[in-house]
Formats: sequence, structure tokens, C-alpha cells
Amino acid sequence: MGTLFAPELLEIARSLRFAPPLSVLGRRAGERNSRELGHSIEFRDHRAYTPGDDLRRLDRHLWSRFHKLFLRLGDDPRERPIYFLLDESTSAWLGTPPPLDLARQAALVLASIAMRERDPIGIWTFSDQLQRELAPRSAGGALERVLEFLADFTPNSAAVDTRFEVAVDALAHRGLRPGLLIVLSDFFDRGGVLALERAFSAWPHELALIRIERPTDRDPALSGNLRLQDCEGSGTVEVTMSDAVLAAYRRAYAEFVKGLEELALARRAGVWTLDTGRSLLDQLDVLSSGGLLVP
Amino acid sequence: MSYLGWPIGVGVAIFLAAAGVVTAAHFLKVHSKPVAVPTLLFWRELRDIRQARTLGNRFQHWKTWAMWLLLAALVAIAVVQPSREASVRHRVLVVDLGSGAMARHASERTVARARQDEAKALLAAWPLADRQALVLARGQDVQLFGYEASRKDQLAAIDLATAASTSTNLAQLLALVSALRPAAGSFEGVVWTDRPAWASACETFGLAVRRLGHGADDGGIIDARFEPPTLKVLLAGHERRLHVGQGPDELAVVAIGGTGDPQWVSIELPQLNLATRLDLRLEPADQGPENDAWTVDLAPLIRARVRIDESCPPWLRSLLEAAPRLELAPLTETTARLLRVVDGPTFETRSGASSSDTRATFSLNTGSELLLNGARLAESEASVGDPAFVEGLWDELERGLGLSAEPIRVPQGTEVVWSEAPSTNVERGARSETSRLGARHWDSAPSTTRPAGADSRVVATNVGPFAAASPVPSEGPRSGWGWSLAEWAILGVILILLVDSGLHRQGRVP
Repeated sequence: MGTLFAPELLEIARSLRFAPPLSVLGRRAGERNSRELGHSIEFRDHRAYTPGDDLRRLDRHLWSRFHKLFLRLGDDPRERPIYFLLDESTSAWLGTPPPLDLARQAALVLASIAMRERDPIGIWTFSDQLQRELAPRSAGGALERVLEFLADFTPNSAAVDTRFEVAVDALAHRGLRPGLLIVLSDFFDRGGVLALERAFSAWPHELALIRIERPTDRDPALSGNLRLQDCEGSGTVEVTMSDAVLAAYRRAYAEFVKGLEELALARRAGVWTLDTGRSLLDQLDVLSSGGLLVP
Repeated sequence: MSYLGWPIGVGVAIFLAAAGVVTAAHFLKVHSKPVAVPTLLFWRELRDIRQARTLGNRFQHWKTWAMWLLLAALVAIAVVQPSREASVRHRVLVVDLGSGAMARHASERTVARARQDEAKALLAAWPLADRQALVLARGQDVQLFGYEASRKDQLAAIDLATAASTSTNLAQLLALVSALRPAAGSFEGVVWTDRPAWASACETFGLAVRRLGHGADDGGIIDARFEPPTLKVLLAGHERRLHVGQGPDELAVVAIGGTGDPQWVSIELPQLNLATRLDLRLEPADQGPENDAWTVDLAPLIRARVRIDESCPPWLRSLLEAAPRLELAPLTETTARLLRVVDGPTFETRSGASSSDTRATFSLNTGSELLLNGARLAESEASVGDPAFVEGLWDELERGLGLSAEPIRVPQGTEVVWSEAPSTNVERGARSETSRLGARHWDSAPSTTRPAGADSRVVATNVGPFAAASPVPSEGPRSGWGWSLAEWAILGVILILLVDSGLHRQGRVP
């Protein structure tokens, strides 16, 4: 697996699982506990009978004792497809370490958790369009297959843009079963938050945004006269660094992050931020404390 | 608005230097370090502040470079443009068409006509590139055709002008010509007159005097002055009879046996009504046609003969010689008033019957003498070259001597208010703003406008006595909307700066 996918990551992943979804997700039985009460063998509660209910779920013991009709309610474990969308545009390779490394590590951990819970997973990469694909498979797929896919990344030879609208729209039209889409990216679409809003409006199901952030994204350590070049080829900007310029940049960046969080809130999704300056092992609590994973 | 008015060469040098600096800045490379960033999303939002407007980088963009070149050119124009006046020669031609010009000249022409012809020839000979003004001094009626007037109009005005029956006031002319003198550049003034007394005063003011000699057939009234109760008339020509009348009354008839040269004739007029105009008529002895007639105000004719002693500084003597209403007499002539410079306390004189109404004055009339405050004179010596000062001094002396329309009725030793009214042909109140020693009563004089000629499209300026016109265009030729090129240039500079700032805000230029 090499140093990128350290065994410790998978060890820690064993102690985590996905938080239950907010709505019915899959149509096949799985090992996840839905927040809706179903008719599995594990009893959860009773409720009064109403006309139309399934008579097979009537609790005969309560009828014999109280002569009243109650239904037995139990958990309804169903599988929950987990889809990963990894940003492999040019900016994902910019920095040391590149954000894509952290994104791949996080995808591996989350994929291993999903596979342990027998949820089907699918992985796509994108830049200005969808790129590579690891097609969704039924629960219990081999982890080696995921590892092989995640290890097989090579930097783009030319600058490639980030275009969420194209990628998410293409994904949404693949006829995928409802599931959780986990997006791992810096979310630097040149169209800004508005472009992200348009992009994710095309995805009708659950959404989780994992933002991969470089320390220099929020606080660029720059000085002097600079010609800033967009690594994705959208041009250059001449800047004379000063305290005022840096302060204004930080304000603009904070506005972007706030806009992304508001977008997620509107979609009943969440935003989790992983810092490329720290190892994933040190940041797994971010994912678990934020409601994506639970111990 | 005033500008530096530097020569064109300096302006060109300024432009070249500024253009050199701007161009050098344009080609100097700002060493911007290239840095790859994941996105320009946030940097593009910092349009207003992302680049410091330092000298080094703001000229890099060709638009900025071009704008600043234009700006440098406009500044150079603004600085230099007024100096275009300085490179132009200003000429002023003064034609005295006062009373003396009514005399006959050779070839049955009047002196005025001969003088007009010669003045026209002189004016026509001046280079067209020069700026020229014309002053037609018709006694109390002075017409000014300023630098804006065309040469054609000026020549026509000379042609149309007629001689006046009153003599021209030299002080008025000098003040006017001084106002016509440009602040910078060369200046030439020519005065056509036959009055010998004007020569030294004109020379003091840097004016050349040209005279038209009287021929044997000349005849006419050249000048007149009134030293109560004596009327003195300067006549030219041979045998004449001079009739002096006032209204319907004929006061005197004097026979003159002239030799052709100008001569003064004195007539005693003890009962003269000073408030009424005096009619002078000159007839040839052989009952031929009347060849000269005057109707004159007495007030401008009133003159005083004064003498001075060794207390009078030489510069004051020169000014007294040029004073229009004073005449220097030998020191031995005891009938003339003595002007004496004394050092002493400030003079105080009383006005009217009120003993409490006292005023400090420069001069004190003791009856036989006019005492001048030596301390104030000494302070004023540095101002001798200032025409306003000279006028004021003359005015003060004339008031001190009691020269007015009613000098006889005013008790000696009392402050006399200058009561001579200015000409009714004063236009536009064009008066010197320079403070004067005395003569401030002129500042409130009424003014009217009179066109220069029936067919003239240029409005001539008629200037009253002692009125200093200021017709010299000090800000260069005017363009549209009454603005000079310099003012347009300044406006252009402001607009360019605004455009530059706007483009910078839009991020189009650094």
C-alpha cells in the first residue's frame, strides 16, 4: 500500500461507521440501521394498528392479553450506496503534500467503512469533466480493488480546470441508486459558490462535502510583487502584497467558505474540512465529530 | 487664474523630461515573481487594492503610459501657453487729436489729418505678427482700440477720427499706456503729438514722441490753460482774431499778429463763470472763413505755476515737469506757488468750519507755499516707476494746490476736495486696482459706454481722465467658452487623472 495508504488508517477505520442517514436510502437490505422503523426481527417499539397496516406484524401477545391491536416495529436495515467524487484537477496536485493525497486517504478510509457495513461504493474522479470510474458494486467488494484504483493517479500533463457543474450533472444522469455522494475537493470552481450551487442542485440525494484545504489557502505566505498564475490556466493577476491585500484576501476566502457552508446547510448536507498540513490520522475526529461518522 | 508663463523652450524641455521619465518607467520591468496558486477567484476580487500604485509599476501599461504622456504635454501647454504673449512684440500707437491738432497744416490739411495719415502709415508698417493697440486721444475723450481689435478696424478708426476741441490729458494717456504694457515681452509705444512738454514725461514712461512740424500756413488753437484769472491760449499761424465767449456773452476779442510759430496769448478774465463752458473761436484777420473753434470746459484748463527749491529731490522735479496741470516756474518768479519739502509732524488740515474734523495729509497749503511731507516722500521714492503712484502724487499735489473748478472760493489752508468730474465717456470702469496716493475719488466715478464708430464692429474703449485701463490680455488668446488654452489644458489634466483612476479601479491599468 505504500506510505500513502498506511495500515493504521484502516485499523482506525474499523472503529468507525457511518452515521445513520436522514432518510430511506436504499432499496436492498443492508446492515445499516435506518432511522425509519421497519419490520426486521430486532424489536424496537409498538404502535397502534390503523386500517391498512400489514396484519402479519400484529403482536399476538398483546392481543391475547389486552384485546387491542398493536403492530410490532423493528429496525429496517437497508444498504446505503456510497459514492465518492474526487477532484483531480490541476489544483489538487498543487502543494506539498498535494491535497489529492489527503483526499485519497480519506476516500480509502470511508470506502473501507462502507464496505465493512456492506454498502456498495462507487468512485469517480473529475476535473473539467468526469474522468476515471470505479463502478458501484454490491456490498462486500474487495478493498484491494479500491486501493488499486486510488493508487493509480498521475498528475495531469496540462492545466485542467475544475468544473463541478459538468461532473455532478454527468454523475446525476448515470441512473445511480439513491445514496450518499461524498465530494472531496478544494471546491475552487472558477464560478465560485454560485457554480457549486448550480452543480449540486443536480444531485437529488444525500450529499457530504469534504473540503481539502491547504494552510496557504486561508493564509497565503506571500510578499512582494507577484504575478499569480492560476495553476488551472485561467490567467494571471499582478499583485503587490501588503497587509491590506492579505487582509482583503482572507475576507474573500472566509466569504467563500461561509457560502459553501450555507450551500451545504440548504442541502441538509455537511461540510468537513481536512487540512493538508496535518495527517489524516490526526483529523479523523473531524469526520466523526461532525456527524459523518460515528464511533 | 495665473500661470507660470515660462518660455516655450522651457515648456518643451519640461515635456521632454517628463516624457523621458514616463517612457523610462514604461520600459522598466517590474520584477514580479511568478507564483502558482490554486485559484485566482479571491485575488480577482481585490481589484482596487491588489496593486500598489507605485511609480515603478503604474506606467507599465501602455494606456497609462499614453495617458501620462498626454498629461505631461497638457501640463507643458498650461505652463507655457501664456508665454506665447511674451514672444510677441506689443506696440501701442497714441495719436493726440486734442485741440492742437485742429490747427492748419500745410497743403490745407489740419494737423490732425496730417497726423492721422502719418499714424496710419506707421501702423500699417508694423509687422502683422505684432500685437498692436491704438489710442485716439481726442481731448477728454480717449478711445482705445485694444490688442483684440484688427488692424483694419484700427486704420478705419484713425481715418474716421476728428480732432477734439479740448486738449488731451497727458496723465490719462500715460496711465492708459502703462496698463497696455504687457507683463513680459517687448513693448514699443509711440505718441504722435505736438506738445513739447510731453516729451520728457513720455520718455520717462518709455514712449517715443513723434511730432509733426507746423508749416507756415499752420493756424489754430494748440492748447489752452487757465490760471485764474488768466486764460492762456497757445496759437499757431499768422494774423488771427481770437474771440472768447461764454454762452451768449462775448468776453474778449484779441488780435494776434503771429509769425507762424506757436505762441501763447494771455487774456485776463476776472469775472469768468467757472461753472460754464468757454467758447474760443479763431478767425483769420482777412475776414476769411473761420478756421478754428473750441468749446472747452474750464476745469481741465486750470493750471498752477509752481516753483521748487533745493529741498525738492530730482525725481520729484521730473514728475512735476510731467504733471499735466502743473507748470514749473523759475524760483525767482514769486507769483508762482512754492513747493517745499519739509521734515516735520504729520500735516493736519481742517475741513470746512468744523474744527474737530481734521485729517492727516501728505501736503499742507499755507497760502504762499505748499509744504510736502519729506518723510513720506522719502518712503515713496521707490515707487517712482509705478504709474499709479505718479498719478496719485500728481493728484495729491493738485489737490494741495487747490486746483479745482472753484479754487478761488476755498479758503487757503483747508483741505480741498477734488471736484473735477471724470469724463462722461468712461467705459466699463476699467480702473487700476493699484492703490494710489490720493485720487481715490475716481474709483466711484460713473461710467458709460459709447461705440467707437458707426461701422466698427470693435468696441473701442473710451477712457476718462486718470482711468487706467487694463486691456492687456494676460492669459493668452481666448478660445471657446471664454477659456484660454491653458485652462483647457488644466481641465484636460483633471479629466485624464479621473480616467486613470477609473481605469485603475476597474483593473484595466495598474
